[in-house]
Amino acid sequence: MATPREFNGIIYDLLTGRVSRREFIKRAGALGLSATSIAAILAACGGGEEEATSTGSSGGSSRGTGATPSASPAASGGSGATGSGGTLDRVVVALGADARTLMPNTIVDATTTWQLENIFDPVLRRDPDNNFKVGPWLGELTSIDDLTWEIKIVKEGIKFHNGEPFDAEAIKVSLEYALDPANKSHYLERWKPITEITVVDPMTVRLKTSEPYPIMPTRLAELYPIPPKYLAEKGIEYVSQNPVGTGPFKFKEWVRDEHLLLEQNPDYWRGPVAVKELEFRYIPEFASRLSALLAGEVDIIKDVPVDAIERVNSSGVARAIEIPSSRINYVALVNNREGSIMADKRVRQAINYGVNVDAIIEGVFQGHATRMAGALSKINPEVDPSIEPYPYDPEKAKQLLEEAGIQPGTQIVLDSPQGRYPMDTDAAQAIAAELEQLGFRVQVQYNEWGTHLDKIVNRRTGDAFYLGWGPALDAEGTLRYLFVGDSTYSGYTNPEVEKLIAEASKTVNPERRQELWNQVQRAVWEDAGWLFLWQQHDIYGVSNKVEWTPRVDESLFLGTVKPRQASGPKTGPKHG
Amino acid sequence: MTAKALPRAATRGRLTRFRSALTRDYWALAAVLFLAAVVLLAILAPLLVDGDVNRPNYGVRLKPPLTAGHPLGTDQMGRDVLDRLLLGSRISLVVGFVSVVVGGAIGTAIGVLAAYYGRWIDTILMRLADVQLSFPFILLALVINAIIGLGLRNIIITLVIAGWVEYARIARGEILVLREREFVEAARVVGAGNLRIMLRHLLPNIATPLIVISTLQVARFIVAEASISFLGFGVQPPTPAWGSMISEGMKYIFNAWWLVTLPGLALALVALAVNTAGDWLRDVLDPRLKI
Amino acid sequence: MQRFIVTRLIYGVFVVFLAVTAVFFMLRLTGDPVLLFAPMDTSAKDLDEIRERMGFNDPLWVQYGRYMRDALRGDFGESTRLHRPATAVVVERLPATLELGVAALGISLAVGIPLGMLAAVRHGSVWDRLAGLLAVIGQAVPNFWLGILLILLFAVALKWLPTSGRGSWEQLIMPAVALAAASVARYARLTRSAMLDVLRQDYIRTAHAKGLSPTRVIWGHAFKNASISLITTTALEIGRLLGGAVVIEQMFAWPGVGRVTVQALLNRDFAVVEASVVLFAVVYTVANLLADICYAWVNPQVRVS
Repeated sequence: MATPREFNGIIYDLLTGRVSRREFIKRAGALGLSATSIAAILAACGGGEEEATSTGSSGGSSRGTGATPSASPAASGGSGATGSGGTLDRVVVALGADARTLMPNTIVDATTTWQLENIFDPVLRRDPDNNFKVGPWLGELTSIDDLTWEIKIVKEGIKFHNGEPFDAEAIKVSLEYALDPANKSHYLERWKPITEITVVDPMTVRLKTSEPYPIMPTRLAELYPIPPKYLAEKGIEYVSQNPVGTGPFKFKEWVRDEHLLLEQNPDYWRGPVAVKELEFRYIPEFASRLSALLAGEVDIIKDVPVDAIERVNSSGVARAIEIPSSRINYVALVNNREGSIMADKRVRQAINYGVNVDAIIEGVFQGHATRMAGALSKINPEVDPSIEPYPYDPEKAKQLLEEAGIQPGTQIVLDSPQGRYPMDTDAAQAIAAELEQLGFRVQVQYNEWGTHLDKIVNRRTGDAFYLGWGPALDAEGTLRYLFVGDSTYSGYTNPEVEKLIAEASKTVNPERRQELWNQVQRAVWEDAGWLFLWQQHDIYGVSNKVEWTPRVDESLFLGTVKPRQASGPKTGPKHG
Repeated sequence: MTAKALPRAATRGRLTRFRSALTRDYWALAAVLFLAAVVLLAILAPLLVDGDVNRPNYGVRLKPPLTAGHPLGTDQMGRDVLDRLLLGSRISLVVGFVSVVVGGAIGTAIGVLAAYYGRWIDTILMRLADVQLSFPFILLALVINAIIGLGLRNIIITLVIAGWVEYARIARGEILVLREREFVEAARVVGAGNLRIMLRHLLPNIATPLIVISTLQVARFIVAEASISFLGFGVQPPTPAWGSMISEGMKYIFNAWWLVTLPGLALALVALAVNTAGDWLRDVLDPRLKI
Repeated sequence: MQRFIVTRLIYGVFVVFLAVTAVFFMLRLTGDPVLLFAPMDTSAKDLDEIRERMGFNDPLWVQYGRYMRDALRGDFGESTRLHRPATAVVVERLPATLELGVAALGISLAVGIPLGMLAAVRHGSVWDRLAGLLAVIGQAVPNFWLGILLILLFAVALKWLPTSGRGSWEQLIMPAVALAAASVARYARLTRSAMLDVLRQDYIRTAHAKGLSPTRVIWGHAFKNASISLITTTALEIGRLLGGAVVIEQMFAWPGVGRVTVQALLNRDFAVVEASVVLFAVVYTVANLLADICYAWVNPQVRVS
């Protein structure tokens, strides 16, 4: 049943502009429709209903009946079986690795963040209902002038799990924590342009930067406030192991390399979530992870291989849910290194014409990847939608190669990581096979991940290298780091592009900035800086007792988990 | 460990003895015949497979065994599993034998030198062996692989570095006993140099335990290649090594059982045969050898 | 005896020292540690700043000197991956590895020795054959392969045992068995040949002749003598089990030292790898020392040499 608080929640959402009018009407309609679905929808306050629908359709290849997630929570509530409050006693998520620390704002590591964001709330958050643009969460951001930003906390009375109030001071202390070199925060470099942090009043913080810093919203989406008093009293080492946040789950227990146990935060400022207990369990080997899912020991796993989708769907205990990820894959055609045949633009273009990317997506990924036209994926809010993919045209490719004076049998070396991204070795081999069709002799050099990074950074790769990048949901995070000649992981240089990028990354005006990013995207497309490949699809194995919609940014925010129809007795995990 | 100075004549008598011992022991006979067949297949493999076994053919991916044209099925890239197993036998055998021969040669040389010269040479070489034994084989293999990178040659180098110790210890132990025996003294009296004594008189007398340990090592190294692949190092794809085929196949364990079981079975059978042959060899050569 | 122990102890410290030194330099050859923890958008300048701050830009011998100085004070550096002392990272996972190792060793002894005895006593019989075959299979199968087969059978198909993890005794069964397989084989093999050796000796014949029951002869006399060679092997076996655990821990999500070491190695987290090498070397050395002491105690003339 919907409580008055939950009703207030949705109205509040409307008032703060967090949901659109249309969205509100849609939800209100659901409120009137069925009482059981109200709880489900409101418990899922994090949003995502719309996203779920699009996943089902844009995932496209609905393989097996279970592959399509039910489009709206109302559908699952319809059976009436969730009458008993609509909560789940326990949800277990299996991850490949442990959190490195439980102190936010310290270590940049996806697995760590996935877990932390269930305990902590970020200041801003990417909104699945608004094209994954950065939107308000704990705070709302306004640009005062080119060098000044203001964060306003969205709601009074937000508290940390220990009862400490969340206020402007907490944001300030969290930033100062990351900026203190003694804390060895990986975020230090990202916050460096900040010169002044002022608490205007308990609800307002002002940030001054030394230079225009338009990427500020993205940065604030990864700032997770920590309670200042708690930190001062207990010290960093203690807090790193006993986290206290404002998030939907409270910390309970952490056994390194074994599991992290969280429990529902009943006083969550957005209303309590539908999961009583959340466990992250660490199972490094994929086959063991999938075994655990099929044995009913865990409820959610990530990175189900495309060929296991059917097996998962037919298991009777779980189903595969697929979502096009913001993580992109590409082959850099290295032109920022002496002696690479990729220095010639015609060769790079020829490769884009001559490699049948769609065939590889079909062959290797069985269609579970989405082709990219240019350097940014379709779901990147700053993508230039006018860019179309290179058509497959081997004749044109051969002609370009001839013009460039490339003899058939010319050797190229393609560096690839091994086991880093789904199907990476297979994809690299398929690309090599396509290149051989063009007359190249291709040697694929597989590297252990560390070696791969060493080679790219020291410009010791072959003529091309395969890399994934993500979550990539803004232009600067991709273009500035991968298309500027002396950027750490870049394989491309072009003075004109670099000039555009430099200007864009100092431009605060959104329209002007977007225009510059569009120019960059068109330039690198025309110049064929990469062999543009695909957006990876994230495929999750999800237990049939759980209703959950994954996000494109790989986030594992589980505040949106709800029970699915209770068909038969629930079999909880046997152990732990 | 006991060492027996076999008379170096009577080669022919020994051969007959081998043959009769083999025909009496069906297991050993089967193992030896199986190994001979594997070696033969490995040699002939390039003639037996057609075309490029590494070329992807997505039209026939993940077909189960007994599919027409693919008796053992195909893998995730539509490549024929039987072809890859055949070619993989070459890799596994090369990994097993080359690393054992090279590692064995180096280890034996070190062991003989250490025992023959004794004193500080012995101390240094054997401390080195102890240091190496003090951390797990697989960890050492991973560190070396992390330095020199992925690849068949590098796997062999890794195994050689990780595997010489066993030989050095055994050779040293045997030589320490032999050194004091009268035939060594006699050789020295007739003016044989150190090198000659080591090569002509000592080495043949420690051959038995070294041969037996080698058979065990071959099996162990073939298995080790698989473990190293499992932990993320290993040969360069698409090289069809059995170990890397197993670890690649792990991803498909729930929908393509043949990808992980067949190479595993091949690997286990070869290791089994090598071990069985080794056991038999031990029983014939020196049943009291505790290896 | 005391002098013997002291000599061996000094010797052990020396071995550990050399092992750490070797690993220190080898790890620095694997590549740049900073790239594996710094975010990928870090600029070259900032990367170099991090290297400078963490001392990776200093000459190797300076780094080594600093490392050894701190190590002598018990400080083995900080994990670059986890931002905590490397010693803590490794030591807190030791109980899990020991638990697994002891269970596996127990299985090996409990199964391997009787198997070898059976083979020796019934030399040449079908039992001998079967035991031999079992032993050979144990050594011929990669342990992770055995592991996945066990998971498929007992966890997924039959649902008798949990797939992975640590906590309950059921979770210990499969990893311990998979780890023990090779070790069972080696014990069976060794026991068999040691027993065959002893059974041929005169005093056993005498014992038989005196009318002692076969059980007394086998367990009371023969096995007691054969066990000497088993003791020395056990030290080596402990080293091998620790090595095997590296793979098994990964397969069964067992939170032990091996798994954290592999992670550390892949992430070039040097301090953690070094700390665990120290730990492995110490365990190995202590096991060897104990074996030597047992051996010397059983077999007094060894002490002299």
